Amino acid sequence: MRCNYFATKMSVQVPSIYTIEIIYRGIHQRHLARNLARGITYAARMAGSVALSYQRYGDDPERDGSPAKYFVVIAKGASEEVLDAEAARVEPDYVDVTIVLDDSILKGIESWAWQGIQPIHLKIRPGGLLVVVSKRSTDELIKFIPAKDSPYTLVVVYGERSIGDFWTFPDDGTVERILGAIAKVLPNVLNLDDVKRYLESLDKPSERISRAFEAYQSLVKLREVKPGEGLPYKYESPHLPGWKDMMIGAAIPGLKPNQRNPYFTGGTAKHYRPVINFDKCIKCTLCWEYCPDSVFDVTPDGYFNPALAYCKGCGICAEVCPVSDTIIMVDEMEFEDGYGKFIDEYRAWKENRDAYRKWFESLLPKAQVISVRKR
Amino acid sequence: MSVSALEAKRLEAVLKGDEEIEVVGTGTDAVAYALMLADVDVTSAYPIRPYGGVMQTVARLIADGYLKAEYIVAAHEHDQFEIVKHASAVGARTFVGSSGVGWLLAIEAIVAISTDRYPVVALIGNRALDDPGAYGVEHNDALMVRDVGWLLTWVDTAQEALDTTLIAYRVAEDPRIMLPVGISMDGAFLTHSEHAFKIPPKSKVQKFLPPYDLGNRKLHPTNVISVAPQVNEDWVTELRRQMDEAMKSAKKVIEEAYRDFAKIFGRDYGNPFIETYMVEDADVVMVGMGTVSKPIKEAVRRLRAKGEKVGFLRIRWFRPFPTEDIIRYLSGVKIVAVVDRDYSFGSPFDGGAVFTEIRSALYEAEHRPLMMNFIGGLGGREITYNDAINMFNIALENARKGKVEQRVIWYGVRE
Repeated sequence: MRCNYFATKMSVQVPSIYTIEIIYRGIHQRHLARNLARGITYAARMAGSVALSYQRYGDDPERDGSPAKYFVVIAKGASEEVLDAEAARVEPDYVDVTIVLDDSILKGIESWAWQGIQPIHLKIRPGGLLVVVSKRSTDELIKFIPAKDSPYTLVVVYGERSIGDFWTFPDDGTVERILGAIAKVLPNVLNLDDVKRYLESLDKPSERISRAFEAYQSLVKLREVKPGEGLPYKYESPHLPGWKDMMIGAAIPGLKPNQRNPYFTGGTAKHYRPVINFDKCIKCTLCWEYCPDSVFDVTPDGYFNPALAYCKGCGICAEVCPVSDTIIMVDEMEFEDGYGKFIDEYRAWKENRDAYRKWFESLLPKAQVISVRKR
Repeated sequence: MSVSALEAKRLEAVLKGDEEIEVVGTGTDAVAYALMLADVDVTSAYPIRPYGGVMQTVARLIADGYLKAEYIVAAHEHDQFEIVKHASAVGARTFVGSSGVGWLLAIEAIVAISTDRYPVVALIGNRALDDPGAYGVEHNDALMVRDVGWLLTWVDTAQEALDTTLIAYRVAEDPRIMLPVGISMDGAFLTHSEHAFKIPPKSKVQKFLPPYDLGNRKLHPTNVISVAPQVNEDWVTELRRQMDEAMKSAKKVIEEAYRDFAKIFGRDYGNPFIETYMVEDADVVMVGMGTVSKPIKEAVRRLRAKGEKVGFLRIRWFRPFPTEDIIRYLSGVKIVAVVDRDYSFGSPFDGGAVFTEIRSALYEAEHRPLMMNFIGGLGGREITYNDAINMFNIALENARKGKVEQRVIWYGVRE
């Protein structure tokens, strides 16, 4: 025992640790994120590294659509104890790679009320990777990403947004494609043989391996992003009050009638948003009444204007609207806004009805049916 | 049903006059009269003995017009404690109470009362926890909340019960504190025995006890605040530290309250936190909480008459714990023998909760005494002065030998 103790002490060295962050949508992608995190962990361990994974627990991944996080920590050729310090964290200080499972999360992350809207690459080290599952090009995606002080590489893994629900995991190849992409851009962490070894241990191995190979060979596109390139958005860390500054017993100043919470908007939880055809609106009030987040502002002339910063994209308004094609749900990536600033639909309509009508008609073919009842 | 003509006349006198009067009643009656004097706004009740007597008396006082208060009968203890939590949040002075497993059924609400910082006052008629069934006293029910921000006190007479209830409101509602107070009263021995005690006039109580004022924390349409939000790891440490500060401030506030109490009512309890009885030159000091003080004091008198140097120290406030007083009075004593009417299975040396706390405090004593622990009187079993003399004799024997042969003794347990 004594001998072992000294052996351990003598061999202490600081290993290089790779940290991978996986950003996903609460509920819809919880199984996807977990399967990916565990998959990377298993693959790394089969390759002789040590690895572990954990959730950012406070994100409450059980919340519908909320941006949530998983982390994988890997150390090559090290003993288990080098990960001890990583084993009980809320989140890591920095990550080497951020993998985004839904491109609409590029528009920002609200981790918890007072954290504000965090940029997607907040944790990425200088020179790190931002990997996004998307059908868009890197040049298109950069329009949704705030500028960063340090350079990074934007990587697109071509693919559909994979959406499941609380209980089900669509085994649609997304995990395999991302593993293939990791082998392509991070071979020092997992190479193609490592990925193959892991996938061979699963069911339907040949199908899975071919998906990983396909991604490795043809679905990954890279783009270097220079410091300062991207949206002009500056994130400021929240000021957390000291115990002497807080009200006694966790009381906080409340919201006055008709006031919205300035600290927690929550609108980053959506991948679809309602767009209103005010020309057809009959002012029936149903959207306003049914909205679970009370996002509809009543206009002076009796219309209902969604405060998109607060909208979670559930689609209930579109479902209860009795007039066809009057509230439609459209993919967030159709709108180059976000990070706290959203289109004011009612104002746009008031300012130029013709332009608005044309805009609405252009969106109509892209409208999604989100059946709340089906969920 | 109305109070007797004699009591009616006396209650009229304290409500309208300036003189205190004497009545005969149980310990729980005494608390009920204190609630009348303190003008409690909301009480919630759910029957369980031995606490239940207080609610019967409060109901009578309301029915007979001596107290104007909302009397809400809850569906069960959890509701009962939630009701007073919410009433306290909107600015009502509240009273609540329970016993044994009833108290434990409400535990989630009980903890939220202290973490939300509402100055609820509760009576815990101490009762053994089920199973097996027993109505009698054990202190484990109240001790369950010793770590979560409740101020805890044990009384040993009806008079002290009445006075402590008034003091409890004053301390709990102090802006520096804003924590609930649990007043523990031994089941049967104080809840169900009748004693003469004095009721002070309400006019004096009004001088002692200012109106309940939540300030900017009062939930009201004109004061828009939100309470008890989800805060996670970002806020919790700070909010617990706030409670720590309030609990640390409690000693000063309790001292102020007892000083004013003596000034206004003329009844001086001396040291608010502990009661000492012939401890000054004692070789053996017994320590206990609650009504066990009565037989132990009698044992002290009898042993002193024989020339034995014995004394007694009663812990009146268990939270905040009287650390400095314990060190001051027990440092240099040969043997400290703690009588625990509770158990703490698997604790250090398998002793009781009070023993363990005192032992921890005395680690800082200049001259650490030897320590013994008697666990006894459980489930309502009596501890007589003969029992106390037996315990003292064991302790004295150890004192003569200069060592403790058996640290923890389950006193009177049948083998």
